[in-house]
Formats: sequence, structure tokens, C-alpha cells
Amino acid sequence: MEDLRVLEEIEKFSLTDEERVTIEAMIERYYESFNELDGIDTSGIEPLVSVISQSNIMREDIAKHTVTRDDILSGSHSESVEYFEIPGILR
Amino acid sequence: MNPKHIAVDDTIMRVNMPVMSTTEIFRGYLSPIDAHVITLLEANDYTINSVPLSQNFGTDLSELPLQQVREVFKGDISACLVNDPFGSFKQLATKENLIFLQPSYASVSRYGLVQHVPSMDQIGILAKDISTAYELLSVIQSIDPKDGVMTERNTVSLTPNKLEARVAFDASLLNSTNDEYGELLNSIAKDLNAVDVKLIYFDISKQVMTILAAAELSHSINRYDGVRFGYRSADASNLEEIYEKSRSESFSIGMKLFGILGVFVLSQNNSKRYYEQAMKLRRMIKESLDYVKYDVILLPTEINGNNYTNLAIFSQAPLAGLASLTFSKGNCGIQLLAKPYHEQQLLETYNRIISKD
Repeated sequence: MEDLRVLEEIEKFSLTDEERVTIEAMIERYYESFNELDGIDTSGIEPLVSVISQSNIMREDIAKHTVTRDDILSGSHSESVEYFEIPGILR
Repeated sequence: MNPKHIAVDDTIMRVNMPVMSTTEIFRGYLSPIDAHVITLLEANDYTINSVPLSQNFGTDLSELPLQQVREVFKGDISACLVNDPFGSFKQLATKENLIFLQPSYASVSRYGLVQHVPSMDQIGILAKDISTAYELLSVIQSIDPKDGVMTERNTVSLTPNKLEARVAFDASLLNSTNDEYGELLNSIAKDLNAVDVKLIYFDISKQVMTILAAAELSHSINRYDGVRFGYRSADASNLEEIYEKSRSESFSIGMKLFGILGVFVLSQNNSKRYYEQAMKLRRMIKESLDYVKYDVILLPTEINGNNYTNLAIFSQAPLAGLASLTFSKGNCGIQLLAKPYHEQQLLETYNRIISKD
């Protein structure tokens, strides 16, 4: 398997040493179990993306304001009335 | 018990109420919207309590949320709505003498439900009795244009059937149960004149479920970045650190495990071997459930092993989009599966089982 630290980097979180030991052991068990699927012949089978056989339903293209800008910003740490705020990137 | 007083898990959003309040990444976040089911319940004069049942996206599979369920039902609450893709609340229903009714996929709007495993997410009903569960189903099932997969075809029929449901039972599963439980299930199968079937992909469904759930869940939790929602690390001094520290500090070990598993099975080198293979096997599982020869499948709710092994029992309905009913008769846990939108057949089969001495 890939180095666990590479996967952490992709997922944008890091594990503590204790978490890493636990997760490494659990992942080994999962992989062993997943390998049981290798021998099953699935040639000619289409992957099933959704259990209902239809594509997404689109609504009429008419503008609606179901949630306001204030609503959206209220869940973040922003104090700005217009944008999500983060620490400065360029100094 | 007050049939009009119900609880909803706080993954089902209500205006200005906390969302998944026991999960650290949501700390301080209040919902800007009402879920569609909340609108329906309020229109039908239900009194609603929001309760924290689901924690950490259901990823802590080693521990069932027993105390949380007991806390919810110790007052006059008659039922609780909760999304249960991994079957934890179905297992608890049998242990706590409750009913779990899982409606067919896309028959109840998921607008305003915190996304876990989108191809399997479905608001279910954990209830004190069967009539409350079905009364609630009749209220919350409704086509909602805000849920992009719902059409009139996704309507549950609750009209009584003229013919008794034909029941199927895979007796080979009894080899994995203890003797006493196996005998009880076998006698129920006989009372129902169940035909013997072999669920040929039963043993591999836990792997299929885990691979697909990890892939979808890792995607679902990607949106929690410390910028737009809830928790933000106090130590972050730039954007990268906001992402990394906020997620590291607020994700549970179960969320991290599923995140890493998801990235692994979706990676360029592995996606064909794991993710694509699991999607193909999901089709084979769905198509192997042959609802031409029977209407309802009888399943145990526990087989010898651990929670991972038991995932096979509770993954059949979400993998195939089926309706399911989980309950107990005496000490015997029972799960019934029906084809999509045939919840009425579950109710009628339940009545046959319960009415038999």
C-alpha cells in the first residue's frame, strides 16, 4: 500500500502517532478482506453508479434565492459581510 | 407516548439549530435551512426535538450508539428520524424493542440531510411501534424537486395487497448464527412458508459496502475545510494550515480511517481493482435479488462475528436501494427486505410474524 503519510497529505489532515498505529492496523485488515474480491469474474458487467435508473432531474432555469449570502457566511468564521475570510496569504 | 412528538437526528437540518453537534467539525455551526422532511412534519402539526444521535458520520463502527438511543426514547417521544447507512440503528432497534423502517432509496427527500454516503443515504424511521413508523412514512414520503433524483416513480404505495407476500429465506445463513437464534428464525421462516434461496453474494457485500462507503464518505467530508463551516483551528496562520489543522484537530479517528480508505480505493493505481470492481459487484448483488420468485426476504440481524461481519446483513438494503423493516419478536431479531416502493409488503409480513403465537 501507499505510504500512509502520502494519503494523509492528499486528504489534508495528519494523524497523531497513536492514530497512525491504530489506523495502519485497521487498514491492513480491510485490505486483506478487500482482496477476497479479486478472484470474482466481473467481466462484461457495467459498474452500478446509482440504484435508480435515471439521470439527475433538472428544474426550470429560473433564478431563486433559497439561501441568502448572510445565511451562508453566518456558518463561517468570517466577519466580512461579503466574503469568507482567511489569514493573509501574501505579506 | 405522544405519537405527534418525535425526534430528528441533528444531521437533519433545522433553521438556526446546531447540526451534528457532537461532531467537532460542526462546532458552532447553525443550519440556514429546514430539511424538506421538517417542513412536512411541521405542516402536519408534529412537535420536533433535534437530538444528537449520529456522530462522526457513523464511522465509529465498533461502538453502537446505545446510550444516545435510550436517552431519546426515555420521554414521550414516539419515533426518531435518522440516516443509517451502516445499520447501527437497525441493530439497536432489535436490542431495544424498537422498529426501524428504512424507506426505499429516493422515496423520502434528502434535501437538508447532511451527506454521508450519497448513493445510499436515506432518512429512516426508528419508532416505538409499527403504526407510528408507517404513519410517519405516509407524512415524510413526498416528491421534492430539491432532491435531484426524485420523480413520481419513487412513490411508495401503502395500499393493502390482495395476495400474501411470498417470502424467501437463505437457510445457509443459519450456519453463522448461534443454535437457539437459528432455530427461532427457522421456525419463523416455516410459519411464513418461506422458499429457500441462496444469497450468492452475501459474504462479499461487506467489502463492497465498505469500499463504496469509504469512497463516497471521503468525498463528502472534503467540504469541511475550516473556511466555510464550523470548526477552525486557532493555530492556523495561512490557508494550507487552516485546512490541515482544522481537519486534523476535528476529525475523529473513524472519519480519518474512512478518508484514507476512500483515497486509497479511488487512487489512479487502485480504482480499477477496488472501486470499479465494487461498483460492478454492487450491480451483481442488486440483480441477484430476484424479486420475480418472491416478494420479501427474511434475514437475521446478527451473525457470529464482529460489527464488520454484521455489515453484510445491513448492507443489502442500501446497496440495492431496497425497503427494509428491522424489529424483534421476543429475543429474535428479524430483518425483512422488499423491492423498492413495496413497504406495504413489509408491514403485512410483519403482521403475519407478530400475530403468530
